[in-house]
Amino acid sequence: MSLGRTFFKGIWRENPVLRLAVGLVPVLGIAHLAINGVYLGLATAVVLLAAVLVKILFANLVSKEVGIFVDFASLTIFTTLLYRLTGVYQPELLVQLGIYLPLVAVNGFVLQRLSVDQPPAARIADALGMGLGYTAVLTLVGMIREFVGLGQFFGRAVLNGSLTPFSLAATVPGGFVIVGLLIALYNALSGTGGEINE
Amino acid sequence: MEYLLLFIGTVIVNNFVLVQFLGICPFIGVSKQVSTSIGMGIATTFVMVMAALASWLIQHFILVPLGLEYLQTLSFILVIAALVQLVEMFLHKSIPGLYRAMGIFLPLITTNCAVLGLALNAVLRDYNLGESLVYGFGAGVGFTLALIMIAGIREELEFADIPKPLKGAAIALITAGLLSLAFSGFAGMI
Repeated sequence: MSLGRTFFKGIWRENPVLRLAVGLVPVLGIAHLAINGVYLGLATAVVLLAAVLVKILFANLVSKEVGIFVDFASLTIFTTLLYRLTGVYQPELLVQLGIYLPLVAVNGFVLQRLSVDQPPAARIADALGMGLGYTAVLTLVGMIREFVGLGQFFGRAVLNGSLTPFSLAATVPGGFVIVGLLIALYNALSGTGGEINE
Repeated sequence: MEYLLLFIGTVIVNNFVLVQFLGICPFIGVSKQVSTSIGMGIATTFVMVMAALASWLIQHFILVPLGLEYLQTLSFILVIAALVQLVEMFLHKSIPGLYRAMGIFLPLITTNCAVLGLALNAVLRDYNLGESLVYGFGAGVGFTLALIMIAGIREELEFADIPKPLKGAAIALITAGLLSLAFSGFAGMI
């Protein structure tokens, strides 16, 4: 597979959330506002890319058995770094993202990408594409939930009372249902069967 | 009494999966059969109680005295990973059937956000040792409860005529949404 294709498959054909149904926790937990989706998606993408670079650098030194521990260690180190940096430069953001920022370290999606065996260049393209695809879905879900639930678009009121917001969309159950419907829509558009690809 | 309230609060009112969104990965993956769900639930509950204990000890005897609170996430994850390894070894030896059934999801307990979320939350809320243990146990029971409920529904769904695009993860998520809606009826009870 060419690098370009590897990159783009993360965005549509093998989108982590819509196709693989991994990394759902932040999608449901934090993405009731579009801006949260952007931030958390980018944070996850950065940590994934950093961990992938570490994996490439140490590929020859680390055996398969301890590989998973090295992955965990690099993920937590980068997440902690990001957490500290955010705390210094954007303290309000830290409060806004709450527990979901440290949880980036155990995002199933990131670990799943790390465990796929491929050559270094493909790894980087894959991490970039998957990170971007993940951010896109987080943002999309955030936009839908924010618009339907609060009548806002990136924090700006757009409905002006012409339509009563359906507040359920911004809450927990609404998140489940909206993501479920999005996955169904994706399945219908891409013609894939609905079974989870494990 | 306090402990009982905390327990019920954690299991039902603030259910980890249905109200707090934590632990969704194994939730969608493993919840196809009731029997697997029970096994996964028990294993996760065990890891959760141990994680609550271990993280409390680490927080109060290592991180706070040394002023290393920012290493919380790192140390908790490593401890959880080690605990899961233990459970895996134990199951592999004593209950091989369950071990095979859980397959790739066993190592995933490590990355189950519910376990790390529990450890972080317990520290954040300044629980004492007893409260941490009750909280960990409650979280595990709540997780198991949600997993079994959804598995029971999904077993029935096998025979339902679902539109093709909705099969699999999509219908599971919508079902979870309805369950979560039911659980939100408990909000504010405690």
